[in-house]
This record gives sequence, structure tokens and C-alpha cells, in this order.
Amino acid sequence: MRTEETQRELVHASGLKKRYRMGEVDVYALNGVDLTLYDGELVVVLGASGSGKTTMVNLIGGMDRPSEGLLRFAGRRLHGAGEDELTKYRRTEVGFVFQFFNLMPNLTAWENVQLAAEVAPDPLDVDQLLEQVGLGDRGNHFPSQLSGGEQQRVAIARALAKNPRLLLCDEPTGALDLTTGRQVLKLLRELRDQYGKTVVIITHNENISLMADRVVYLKDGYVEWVKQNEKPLPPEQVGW
Amino acid sequence: MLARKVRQRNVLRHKGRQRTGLQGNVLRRKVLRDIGQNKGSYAACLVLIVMGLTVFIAFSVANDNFMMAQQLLYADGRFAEGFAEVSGMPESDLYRLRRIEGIARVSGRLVEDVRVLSDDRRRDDGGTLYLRLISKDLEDTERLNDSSPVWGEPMRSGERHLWVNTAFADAHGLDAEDTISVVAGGRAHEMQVMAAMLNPEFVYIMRDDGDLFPDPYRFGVATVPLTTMWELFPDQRGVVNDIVFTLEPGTEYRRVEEELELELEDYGLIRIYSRDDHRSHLLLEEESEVLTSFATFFPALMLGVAGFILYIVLKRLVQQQRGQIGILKSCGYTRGEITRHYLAYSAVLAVTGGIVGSLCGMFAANTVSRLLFEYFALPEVYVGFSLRYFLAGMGLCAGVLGLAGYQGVKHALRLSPAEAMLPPPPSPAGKTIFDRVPWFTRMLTTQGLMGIRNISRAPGRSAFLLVGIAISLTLVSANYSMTAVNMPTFLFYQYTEVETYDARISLRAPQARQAVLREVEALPFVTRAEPLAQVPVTLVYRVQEEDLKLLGLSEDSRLYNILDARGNRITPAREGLIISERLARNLRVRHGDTVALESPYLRENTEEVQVPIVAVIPQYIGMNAYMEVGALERLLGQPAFLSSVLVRGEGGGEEVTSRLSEHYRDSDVVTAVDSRQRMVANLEEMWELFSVILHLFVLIGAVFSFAVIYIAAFVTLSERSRELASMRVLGMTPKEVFSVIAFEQWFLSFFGILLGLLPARYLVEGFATAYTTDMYTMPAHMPAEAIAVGIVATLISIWVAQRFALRRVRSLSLVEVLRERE
Repeated sequence: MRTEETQRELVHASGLKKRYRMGEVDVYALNGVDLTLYDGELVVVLGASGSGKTTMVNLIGGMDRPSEGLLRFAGRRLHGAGEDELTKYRRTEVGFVFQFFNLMPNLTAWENVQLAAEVAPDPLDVDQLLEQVGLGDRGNHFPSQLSGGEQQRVAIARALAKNPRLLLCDEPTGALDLTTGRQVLKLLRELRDQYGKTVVIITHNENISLMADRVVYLKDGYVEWVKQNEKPLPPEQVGW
Repeated sequence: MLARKVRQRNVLRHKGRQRTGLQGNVLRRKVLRDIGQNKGSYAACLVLIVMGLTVFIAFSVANDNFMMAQQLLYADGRFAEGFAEVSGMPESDLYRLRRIEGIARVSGRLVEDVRVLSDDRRRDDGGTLYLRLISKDLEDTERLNDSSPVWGEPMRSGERHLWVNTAFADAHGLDAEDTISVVAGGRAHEMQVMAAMLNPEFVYIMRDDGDLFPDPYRFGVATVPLTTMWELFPDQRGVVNDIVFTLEPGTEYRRVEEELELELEDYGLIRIYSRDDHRSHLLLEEESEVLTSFATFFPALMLGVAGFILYIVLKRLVQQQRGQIGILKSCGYTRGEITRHYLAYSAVLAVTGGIVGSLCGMFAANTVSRLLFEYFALPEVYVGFSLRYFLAGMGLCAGVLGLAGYQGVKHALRLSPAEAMLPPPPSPAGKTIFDRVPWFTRMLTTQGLMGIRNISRAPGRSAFLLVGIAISLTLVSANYSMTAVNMPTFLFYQYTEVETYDARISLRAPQARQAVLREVEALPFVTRAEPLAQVPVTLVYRVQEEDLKLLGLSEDSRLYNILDARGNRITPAREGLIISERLARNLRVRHGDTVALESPYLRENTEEVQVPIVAVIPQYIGMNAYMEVGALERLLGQPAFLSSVLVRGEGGGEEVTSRLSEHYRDSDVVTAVDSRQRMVANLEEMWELFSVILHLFVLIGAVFSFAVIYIAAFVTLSERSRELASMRVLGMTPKEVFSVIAFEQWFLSFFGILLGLLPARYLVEGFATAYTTDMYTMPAHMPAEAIAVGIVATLISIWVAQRFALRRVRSLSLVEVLRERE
């Protein structure tokens, strides 16, 4: 178990807001989020639809820019960063896993992972990664030839290939059945344990939060509560 | 600390090589696979690029070869800058011309047309073979318009030697030391062929202005030693009748011309003109212009369309791959890297099309050059591989496709990574412009309504379809107008409607009209003989002036018809001139204006006479003026004369020509007997070749239409496959589903066809202008039939393209399409 006192701070957000213009009114998708993520922890972000989960992960992942507030990654300012700086940040520090896998349909599993490895300064071995996610013999298959669970495992391998410090997973089990979903969660947990990555899982499935080190609950664009799990459950025991 | 430990336990090894040699490999594979998946559209684009570049390079390189060959021949032969024809001038008086300020060199020649006596009956229809003999002063080593031998031996002064032009030698299978018989000075002479030659003055060899194409079998040019010429024509001994000259650098031709005119007046000046008006040179320059315009217009059209197709395809691609762009951005790919990735689609096409098109172009350039060298007697110059045009072709391709590609992809690249990960917002679906016409929308089925709304919701694609169909109609209708109407009119009108004789007897010099006519009419096989008087004149109106031949015809002429624009016969005028439309345009005169007429045939002490214009008529070949022959004689102050006799006889054209030829075989007065039928047969032969090319253009128009419709249908299908699949799920047949797209296309086609009519009219006029020269006037009619053919061809292309698109609807996998994430 990790505590805030013993862990090194990786991401720090303070008063983080994201405003969208809808016609003539401003709508806040995030309305002042204060949150710190620590190196090597597994965090589950819960919240209802429209609570701002994806927006928050997009800001933390450098996919979007905050309208207000402070955001730092390992002491480096992300708020006010330009596009080039954010691109470099995504290239080196963050890996994404999406609900619908978002694999390139015209690239094989191996090529999808290689795609990410190619731009990273310090990539991991693609063959070994595929081995690790249990797809060592499926590297030559195109996404359409893989099951949903296999596709998500390729997506995870791709996110890891850049050897990022932060892995952001947006509803990684949202499109999967119970068994496959548990396999994916197990894999994420193993990878966190094995590589020491900080893993953030966004979900609306509260059961998944039982495997987290910490649970963050978002409501209406701000953090309503943060809870430390004293004894995180193994993913195999997580209900659905 | 823990993190470091964990990292030390990491079983995976980093792969340094991934940052070097293999970088970009995966995206390159994606590019090739994406292209493979949509190969129809890219192939259409590629075909257009290859066609465009092939024509660009083939015609540009051929033009360079052509121009280089011209320069080479002009330089080697010291091609003159000015030309003068006189009745006769003692050679010893040439020094007077050399003294004129601004003249650099002068050469005097004796030029005479002679008949060749041929025993070759294989191709002989009884018409005459001619040689234009041109004297060559062997002592003048710097003579102008000198011939260069292609094969053979030098000529010797005083010997019966001649060098013939290469085409004549080839047509008659002549070899060194073969002999040919020519009739000169009323006697037949055996002349020995010493060589075949090229001459800058006779690159495009035609006997007179009435000819359309060279006929190397019937007419050739030969150079003969000057002393031999004087022996052949004893009455011309010591005389020259043709003067050529060059100018000192910086000298204006006009100023020299005035002084020369004064100087040559006493020697019976017939005509004086600059190189710019020299027929062979003019045709060469015009051919070069045609090659240049071909190398510009066609490739511009093809590359423009290819660029537009690529723009549509790539725009669609980045819309479809919005999520993939988001993934690339989330992986840390920069905007530049993603832009380069999508521009790689353009690059693949540009490089493939560029290389294939350039190579095809280089290959075709030699074929085009060879064809040119068949018609133009030039030294054969071939550039094997032109790096300049290769680079220009690649650059052109890269420029057009790069721009089209960038325009296609730039919008999607502006999205932020987070936006790119989201599905695109639904397109606005408010009321369209058509919904404001309720009576119209009420007439439509639901599918029709969907189709009609799509038009205003996809304005770019609708515009593409509209313009594409308009271009297709333009190409088909305009080319059909040229193929079926204007070209045949241009080629055959003169020799089927205007000139209707069986044979034409040309005389060496004007002869007494009545005596000649009586003699010809007395021949047993001749049923009708009419006079034709040809007078070289200069018509002047204000500052405009034109040199031309004025034709005198009998009032009841039936063998040479003067026809107005509606084809009605006009009686040759006694009171003034009937002139061709082109001449009227050049002189800027109209019916009723009065022009000044100058001619060497005017009686002495008369410089010019004023003549009114009494009618303006269309004339497609040549540029003449006409008058009643008696009135013409009175105008000139000359007794009754003629220069040709037009004959109709029993047994048809070939028979009459043959018998006349035989009858005047040894005549010193008759220089030629020509068969009109032979001319028509030659033209028909030429027309067969031309019509293939022109029909090809009609086909290109139809294929173009097919490609546009197919691409548009493909884009619509891929954009709206989900919607169409839903309709299929509702139980609609593929045809019912496809009717949404079909209605949209037919509706736009109607307006596209209307839109194409005006450009078609302009294109016909453009073609006509391009083909029109001082000697030839191409008509610019666009008959209703051409429009009908354009419409039918376009509609058939649309129908065929839609059958292909319908097949795609039939093969739409409902499960696959509906499973796809929006």
C-alpha cells in the first residue's frame, strides 16, 4: 500500500477548469479540480456521465488545454504549454487506452504497437510487449481479426510501448464482457506492478474501484471525494 | 526509490534501432494499405496524372526536338530573312541590292516549276508530277537558303545534276545516280539525281496556297547548278527571278523592303515578303505553337481534375480517420508528422504518376517527334532523356497534388487531440434551399427528398459533380462539333462545293484567254472549260495591307463556285471584289468599303486602283478575292488572259486528268494538270488519321464523365454507408436505397449539362482559333446534333458509373457497417 506521504508527486492539479462555449453560454466541463497523482499508484476515477472524467484525463494527458488553473507533471508546467510542448509530453510521458481500443485498422497488432514505439525516445521492445500482453503469436493479425479483449490488449501494449510514466485508461473495460474485462484489469495491474507506471482508470463501474490504491470521485466537474483503499482487491475478485 | 527499483526489475529491453532506420515504416505501410483499399479512386487519379504528364512531356520534348532541328537547319542553310519574286533580273545587277543599307547578304536564284515524266503507273492517276527547280550558284560559298545533303554526291557545274528533297526521293525510291526526266523549255531532259537534301526554305513542302498537306509523290523540290538551269531555260540565261536576303543585325525589315521595292520595280516585282510570311516557316512556327498549346491545355485539365479528385478523396479520408488522427496525436505525433503522413498519399501518387508519366512521356516524345519529322523535312533530332522536363513534370505533379492534398487534409489537422478523439458533430440538418419550395418537395419520394437535401448539405461535392458533368458535356460536344462538322467542312468544302472541276490545267505564264479556251474546248472528251485568272495583288485599307491572289472567274462559272454563308452561289462581280471573311477581318473592311489594289499586273504608270468590296464570303482554305474575269482585265488594263483552265469532261476526274496530261505531255506552256478527285482522295486519307484522334477526344470526354460520377458516388457511399445500411435494414432494396444517390446525381446532371453548353461553344471557338491561320480558316459551328451527342454520351457515362456504384450498395455488409463506431 502506498501513502501520500511516502510517494513522489507525479501530477498536480489545482483549481483546474475547462470551459466550453455552447452558443452564447459558457459551460464548465471541469469546475475547479484539485488533485494529486503519485508515482507508481493505481487510481480509479469514478463519476457519472458528464461529471468531467474524460475532460480531466484529457487535460492530464496533454490532449487538451485547461481554461484556468494549474497543472504540473513531475514539476513541469502543463498549463499554458504550447502545442509542441504538449506533443513532446504525450510522446514521452503518457500512454492512452480508450474504451473502443482505437487501433489503426490498416495496421497489424505489431505495427500498431510499433507506431507508438517509433516516435518515443526510449521505447520498449515491441515483441516482448506483445508477449507480455499474451499476444506473442498474434502480432501479424489485423484488428478486425482479433477479439475485443485482444484488441484492448494491443491498445495497452501500444500505450506502454513509449515507456511512459503515466498510463491513462478511459473506460478500458467499457466495451468488454466480464471475463475479458477482468483479464484487461489484471493486465493493467500487472503492468503497474512490473513497470512501476502510474495507472489512472476512468470508469463508471464502482466495483472496479476496489482494485485501486486510491479512488477519486468526480461530480459536476470537481472532485467530490478521494478515498485511499487500505486493501486493494486483486482484479480477479472485482465484481461487475 | 521504489520506481527506480521497479524499473530495474523491468524485464523488457529498450530498442534503440526503432528510432533510426525503421522510423516512419509503419505509417508508410498504412499509406500503402489505405491506398490499396481505395484503389479505384487513386487509380483514376493516377491515370489522369499519367495521361497529363505523358502529354506534357511528349509534346514539350517533341517541340524542343522540333525547334532544335529547325535552328540547326536554318543555321546550316543560312536561311534568308527576306524573299522577293521578280519577272527577271540580270544576275549581274544583284550588286545593286547588296548596296542597300541594312542588307547583309543577297542571293539570286532562278526558280522554275517543271513536270516530271514518270513511267510509274502504280500510283499514277494521270495527274502531273512536278519539281520546283531552284538554281544553286556553286561558286558562291556563302549562298543563302543552301541545301544540306542527307546522302549522295556533290553537284558539278554545267552537268545535268540535281539534288532532290528527301521526301520526293523516298516517295519515288530514288538513289544516287538515278535519272529522272523533266520537261523544261519545251523539251524533255534527263537529269541525274546526285543527292537527297534538306533545305530551310522547304521544311513543309506544298506547291501552292491551295494545298493542305504535302504530297511528296506529286511535288518535290530540287536544286540544280545555276549554269545548268540557264541551259535548261535558254530564254532565262543570265537571269534570276527569285531573290533572297539577310539583314544586318538591328535592321528593320520594313525599311529595307521599301528600298528593295523601288529597286526591283524595274525587274517586274511580283512579291516581296519577310521570313515571318514565308509559308514553310510560318507553318513551322504554327506547328510549334500547336505543340505548346497541346502541352499546356490537356495536361492542365488532366492534372487539375486529378488534383480535385485527390482533394475530395483525402478530405474524405481524414474525415473518416478522425479517430486515427486523434490516436496519432495521443501517441505524441506532431502536427507536422501527421501532415506529412497524409501528404504521403499525394506523394505516392505524385512520385508514381510522375515517374510513370515522365517515362511514358519520354517514350511518346520520340513517337511524336518521328511523326513530325515525317511531315516536316528537318534533320532528325531526338533528345533521349530530358532531365529538365523530367524534373518539371515531377515538380508540376508534386505542386498540384501537394496543394490538393494539403487543402484536403488541413482542416482535420487543426483539431485538438481531444476533439479528434470524439466523433464529428452531426452536420447541420436544418431546412435546405429546396425546402423553401414546398410544391417541389411534395412531388418527391422520401429517397428523392433525401437526395435533394444532400445536395445543399454537401456543397463541395455537389459543385464537383456539377462542374465535372459540365466539363464532360463541354468536351464531348465541342470535340464532336470539330469531328463531325467543322473539320470535314474545313477539309472538304473547298474541293467538293467550291471547286467542282474534273481537272485543272495550270499554265506557266498568263496566256490569251480565248485562244486557250478554244483549244481546250476543242478536245473531244472535254465538255466544259472555264478560265481562271490568278493575279498577285496587295490590298490596302488604311494601314492594313494583305498580299493575296485575286481570282478572275467567268460570270457563268460552274466549275469554281463562289458561295455565301448559306451555300448559295454568288455571281462573280463586275463592279468590285468579293473577298473572304478572313481577309475582311485582316483588312478590317466591310461590304461597301473601298480598298486600294496594287499589282505587278497593273498597266504601266498605274500604281494602284480603288476597288469596292461588294461581298464577303466564307473561305476555309486560302485567303482570296474574286472578280469577274473580264472586269478584272479592264481593272488591270490588260488584254483577255487566263492562268489556269478548269475542265470538266467525259469519263470522270481521273480519266480527264490522265487524257489532258497525256495531251500536254510535251507542252512548254502547261506546267501542271491536277485532278480534284485526287486531292479529295488525299484529304480523305488524311482525315481518317485525324478523325481517330478526334474521336479519341470524344471518348476522353465520356470517360471523364464516368470518372467524376463514379468518384462522387463512391464518396457519397462511404460517407453515408451507415444511413444507407439503415435503409436496407428497414427492408428497402439496394435499388431503392441507391435511388437516393441516383436522384441527387440526375438532378445535378441536369444543371451540369446546362452549365456545360456555353463553355462548349467557347471551346469550339477556341479550337477554331487555334487551327486558323492566314491560309486556313477553321469554321466554328456547334450544331444541335453535337449538343445531343454530348448529352447522350454524358447520360450514358452517368448510367454506367451508377451501375458500378449500385454494385457497391449491393455488397454493403449491413452488420459491418452498423457495427462501426460513428
